[in-house]
Amino acid sequence: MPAKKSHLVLPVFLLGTLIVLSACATRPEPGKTKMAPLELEKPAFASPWVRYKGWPSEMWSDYSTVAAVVPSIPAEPIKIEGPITGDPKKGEKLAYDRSRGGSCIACHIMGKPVPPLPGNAGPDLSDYASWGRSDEFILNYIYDHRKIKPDSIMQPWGAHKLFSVDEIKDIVAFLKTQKSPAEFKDNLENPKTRPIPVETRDNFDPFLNEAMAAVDKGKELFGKEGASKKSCASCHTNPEQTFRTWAASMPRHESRLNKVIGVEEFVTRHARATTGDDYLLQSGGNLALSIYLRYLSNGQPINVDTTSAEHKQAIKRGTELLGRKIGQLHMACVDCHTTERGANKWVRGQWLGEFRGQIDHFPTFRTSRSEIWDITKRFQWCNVSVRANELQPGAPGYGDLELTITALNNGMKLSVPGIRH
Amino acid sequence: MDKLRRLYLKSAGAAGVLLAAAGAGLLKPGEVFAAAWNKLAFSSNNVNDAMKNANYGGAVESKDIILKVPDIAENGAIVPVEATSNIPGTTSMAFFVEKNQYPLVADFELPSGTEPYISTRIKMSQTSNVRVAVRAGGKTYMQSKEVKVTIGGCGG
Repeated sequence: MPAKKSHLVLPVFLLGTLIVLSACATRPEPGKTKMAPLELEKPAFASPWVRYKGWPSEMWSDYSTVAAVVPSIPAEPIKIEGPITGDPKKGEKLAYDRSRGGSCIACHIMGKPVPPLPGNAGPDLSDYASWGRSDEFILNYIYDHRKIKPDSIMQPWGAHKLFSVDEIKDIVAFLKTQKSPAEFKDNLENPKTRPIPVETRDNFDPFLNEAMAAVDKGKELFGKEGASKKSCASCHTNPEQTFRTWAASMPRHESRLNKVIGVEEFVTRHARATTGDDYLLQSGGNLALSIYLRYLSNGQPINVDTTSAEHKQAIKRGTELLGRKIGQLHMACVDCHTTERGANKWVRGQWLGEFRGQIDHFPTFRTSRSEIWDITKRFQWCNVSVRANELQPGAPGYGDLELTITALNNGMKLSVPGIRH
Repeated sequence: MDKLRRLYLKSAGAAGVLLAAAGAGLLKPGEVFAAAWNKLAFSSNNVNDAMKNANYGGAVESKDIILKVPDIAENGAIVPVEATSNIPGTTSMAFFVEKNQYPLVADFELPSGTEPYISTRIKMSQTSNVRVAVRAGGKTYMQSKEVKVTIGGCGG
């Protein structure tokens, strides 16, 4: 009996080994994602999508998003008789009100004294009263500048219902009190002389960057068996070698999903199809594995494909999205992140960077939030900040944006996890 | 990384390093020294009361205290602060944020032989002077510097 039993066991054992080996053998190295097994049916995020706790809960369904355009027609100029008689005190309060889209001080120098750390993405208005503008012009410029100066990055404050006509009249009255150039307490207060912030922190120092713990966690998950009794490491036996450059080539177009996906969604769908784990987008496990995989490619130049037909089309769509005005604040990515517009200037105390320099460190630890954010969450925050409804993680528009912006960062070296404000 | 953390804690023989670890929140203060919690000082609402209640009342400004803080903090959540006391016989150092609701942020007791150097992260509610106070030889000294806390451009 014992002899018979061992005869039975051996072939079964061999067969099992063969199956595992062959499953891995047909699994290509990650450079060839078109052939990598992916689960293709279910949403990769926690569905239905609900905005993060602690974020503004307001919905802005009347305004454009990254997914859909809601037409916004420039308003016809408002005619007024005679000078505007608003209340400059009320106007001052409204101009400083940060609950209505950041306040005028986000982009303009104004006020006596000037409120702390004003921005300069828009012109200095501290002597605006001497510019010779008519009351009607000022009112209409604030209400909706688009018929006067279509390429301005200003918001249509009245037409998009952030301020009423009467409130704007008060702001006009306040602006008419702005008669002399601003004086600043020190060179830090003046956006022209304020030193440009330089990131000097060592993002790989675990005492500085909490996100370094995610590298360890990701490595651990990489070796952890899932429901299928296999782990990532069952097939990818030498991750340091295998993933030396992979993350630097992401995101990429996935024909089976007909959209661009980044490391994060690849992890979700590939794990579902292989280990049986369900690492939903924005979950801690997904972030950890995505950070670990990028960590293995650190130091490699970002190198996304810009020549294939699919990528050319995706970058064309993404470029259009970069220029799309979205949200109640009616702002496009290019308004803040190109030098022709707001980039390399200040919004209040924050420096606006160009597209190049915005990718190499994601996912990144955000000190202001004590959270790790991937690039999707950053897009979502930008959306909500301009009062546009965010899309769910894995939305095709975000894939196009990620590829387009990453292409603008080609050649920069990956440095993940990053640390930023 | 875990290895590094273990190594750090293992090599943390010097009390100064232990204090830094306590400041970084790696150890509960009680695990380092069983100093009594000065509730009165930590719950004082203005900086002068807080200094008095923490026994730093009447501190005189001293150039022998080197306070290193950012001119502009990217946000108020984790503002890096660093202070060195070159005053002989320094026995304790404390940080105060004048405009915080509770200005006393941390008070470090330094046993004899400890290098009077503290590097930690503090929370700031808004732009304010940051003070470091030092007790040495029964006398009190202080140094202060303004830290501007960045105001964001987007939203409220």
